[in-house]
Amino acid sequence: MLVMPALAACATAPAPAPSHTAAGTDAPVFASDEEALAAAEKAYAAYQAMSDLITADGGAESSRIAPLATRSYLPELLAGFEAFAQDGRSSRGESMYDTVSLVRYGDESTGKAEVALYLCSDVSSVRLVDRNGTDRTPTDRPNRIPLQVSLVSSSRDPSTLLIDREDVWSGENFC
Amino acid sequence: MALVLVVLASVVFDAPIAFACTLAQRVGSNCPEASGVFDHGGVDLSAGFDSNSGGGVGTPRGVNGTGPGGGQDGAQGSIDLADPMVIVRDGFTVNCVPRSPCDPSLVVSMSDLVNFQPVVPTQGMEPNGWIVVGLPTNFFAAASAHTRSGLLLGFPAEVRFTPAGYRWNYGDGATGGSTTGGARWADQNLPEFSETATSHTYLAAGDYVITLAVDYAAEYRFAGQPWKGIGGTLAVPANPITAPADTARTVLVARECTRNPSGPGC
Repeated sequence: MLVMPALAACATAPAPAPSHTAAGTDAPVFASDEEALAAAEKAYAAYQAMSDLITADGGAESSRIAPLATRSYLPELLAGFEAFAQDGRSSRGESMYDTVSLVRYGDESTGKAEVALYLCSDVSSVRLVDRNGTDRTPTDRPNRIPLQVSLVSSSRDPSTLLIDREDVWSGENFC
Repeated sequence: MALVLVVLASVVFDAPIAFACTLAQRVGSNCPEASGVFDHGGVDLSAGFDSNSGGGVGTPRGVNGTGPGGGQDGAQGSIDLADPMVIVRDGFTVNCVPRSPCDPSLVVSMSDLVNFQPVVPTQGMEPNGWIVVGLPTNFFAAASAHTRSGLLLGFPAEVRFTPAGYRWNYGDGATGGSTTGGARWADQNLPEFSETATSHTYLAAGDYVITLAVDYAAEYRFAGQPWKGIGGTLAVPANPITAPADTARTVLVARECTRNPSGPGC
């Protein structure tokens, strides 16, 4: 063990720092969870505003929602607007959301972010009116709905997120 | 692997069943299956049957055998296997989509955890970044139990990863396994260059690449349900370390090398 002091004395800095495998090109789409959350909220707000516009028009020109959703979710959205149009009503007022939290953010692959949110969708200030302007809002409509929203990167711009799913969370109601 | 059937005595699952619903459907009150769900926040169903394969219910592979979640799996006492294939319900009809959290025969395997990325473990060594031939080099890993949230089989869930094993490849043809991640000499109250459970002694000079894989055991739970073990482990590689090994010689130097680093012998 006499060797130790000599070694310690000479060992100024051998400097072989642990080498990491991650390459610099694999930078995540969002630098932080906060950034991912902000982008997801922005995308959800845009989707909500456009959906409100379409239902205010009685469900007409529903393809306006297409730029805000993934190709896989679009058919479901269009079917939703179609069902809305068949009821012959239109919406008045704005949908809202609150109690947003990030479930997870990860990059599925380089430049392809996946973000999941919990939020409370609130449609209490949205009224449904028929062609005569009579309020036809269902009295038993659930107005505050706990949702899990999944979003993924747009192929054009990874930091722009598209709505990929909206699942009603039927577990413990956090709204 | 044999199917293990465990009869649970009236365990009540608070089973969330997620279903898709667009904003237009919510506005128009057209959500599928939406009626009645929001009032009591959950679909209670009582199942008298559970089955698992692999990891086994109630025995999450936690460290020390006292894994988290132990004892949460409800009463498993009264085993009545007269006809184990009959699912005993408690008197009311249950609508349960197969492969959803309320499905009592749902089996989750490691390959279902694609949405859950465990924390990448890290490793360190002493001496830091170099090796003395013929003396033990101490390796240690940093990995701890942690929980991730995400979608499991399409349903919101949590997955808990617990390090269960550490496998080193020392780069000289030798490998080592340990159930602990090891620790620094100082933290073990050992003098430097002591042998430890995770140390390795190199016999030849050269540059070595040391790799570590941490085997995580995993458990999952859907909201309101107890933790359940998942069979097998998930190997996650840590950062590899490249370190040169050299022979140590005792030399007499004129002054301390820290004060005169360029002196002869330093």
